[in-house]
Amino acid sequence: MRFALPILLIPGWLFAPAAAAAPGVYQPPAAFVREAFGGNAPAPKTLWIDDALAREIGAILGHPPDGRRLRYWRRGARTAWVLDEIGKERPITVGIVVDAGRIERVQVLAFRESRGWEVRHPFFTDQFRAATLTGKHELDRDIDGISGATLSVRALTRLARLALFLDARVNAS
Amino acid sequence: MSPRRRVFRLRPPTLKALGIWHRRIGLTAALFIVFLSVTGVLLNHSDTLGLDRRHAQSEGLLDWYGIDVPAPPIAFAADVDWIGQIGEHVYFNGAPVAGRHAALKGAVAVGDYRLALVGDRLLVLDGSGARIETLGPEHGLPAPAEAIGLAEGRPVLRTDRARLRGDADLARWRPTRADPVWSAAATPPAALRAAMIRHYRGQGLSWERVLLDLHSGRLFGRWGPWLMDLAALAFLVLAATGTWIWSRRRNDRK
Repeated sequence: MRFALPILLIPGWLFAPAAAAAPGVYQPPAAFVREAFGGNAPAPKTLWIDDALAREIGAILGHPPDGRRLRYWRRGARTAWVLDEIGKERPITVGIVVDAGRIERVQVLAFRESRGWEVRHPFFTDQFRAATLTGKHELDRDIDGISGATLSVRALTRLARLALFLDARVNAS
Repeated sequence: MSPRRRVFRLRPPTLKALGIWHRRIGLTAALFIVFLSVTGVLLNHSDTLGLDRRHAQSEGLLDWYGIDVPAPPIAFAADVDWIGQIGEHVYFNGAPVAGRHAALKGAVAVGDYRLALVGDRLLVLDGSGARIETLGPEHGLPAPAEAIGLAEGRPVLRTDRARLRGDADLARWRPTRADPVWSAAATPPAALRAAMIRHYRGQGLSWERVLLDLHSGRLFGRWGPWLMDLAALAFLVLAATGTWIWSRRRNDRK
């Protein structure tokens, strides 16, 4: 009987790496937002994207924004963003927490591309921790790429820049 | 007197005969050389030319590939507008809405907005079909929503437990006892249906795919690749006979 538990755990241990590697939804956005605010998320706020803001967002993303209104969460100097960006063909959903103008956390919430899912791992996302934005809307540091995941790396870097830019915008208003 | 025995010997072809065959094969192969060169150069610059992002719209070509819709389009009327879906594509009055979307469950018009329930998300469009935003459970949207309706000018979502009415900002959803008019699938006008099908089919075939199949010969059916193999063989023969003729003439001159 004492061997029953290890035996029962074997299938999970065997399949865990495959499950971790597969594209899919890694964390529901609602759970990410709750976590970002210690389990008690504030009500979402609204940011309207006028033409001028759309141009600035377009300069960061390299294409016009997908919508005209963005929802975000804010408490004090801390904001949370759930943003989508296409790597090659399908959107990657990323949650980003910004605290006092510095990135606190980048989390890939859903990955739908067939390649490049390695960007979800902390060894990559931790590079964004404490990053800030320069005057030219670039990150203040270089982000190391992952071979075979170039487009996903670029997509996440763009979203990190966008979150910092939007955080500065909503904190200034 | 014994009959004379005729002895056949394999003799190397004369320079003249070789020249004739080299010319004949060369003229036939020229067509393939031009064809393969043009398709090859285009494929080399496929990314720059955007061939992987552009799609063939020719009905004949799409029929040849057998590209068809996976299921008949579904559509919902939202005031005077139609929001429909084929596969993961959502259409507003026959024009595609950017992105890929889960199953369309209903659509309503609320003031200037058009709301489409896709999976557990609410697609918010303006009156021209441009996307304003996409709301999900993280924005307070009730989940899992099964249907969307309209009561007293406000959207109502039906979950397995309750009916909830949204406020003007679609930020708060509160239980309601109102009896909404639920959005139900209907048959869109034939022209919109045709536009949706045309777009969907067109998304299925990139020009890069067509060029690759032209280059390999696969576009011409099962014998196409064999035809290209034959052309490659002809190129090898041309290279060999050309070198042979050149060396023979060079030796003759000496």
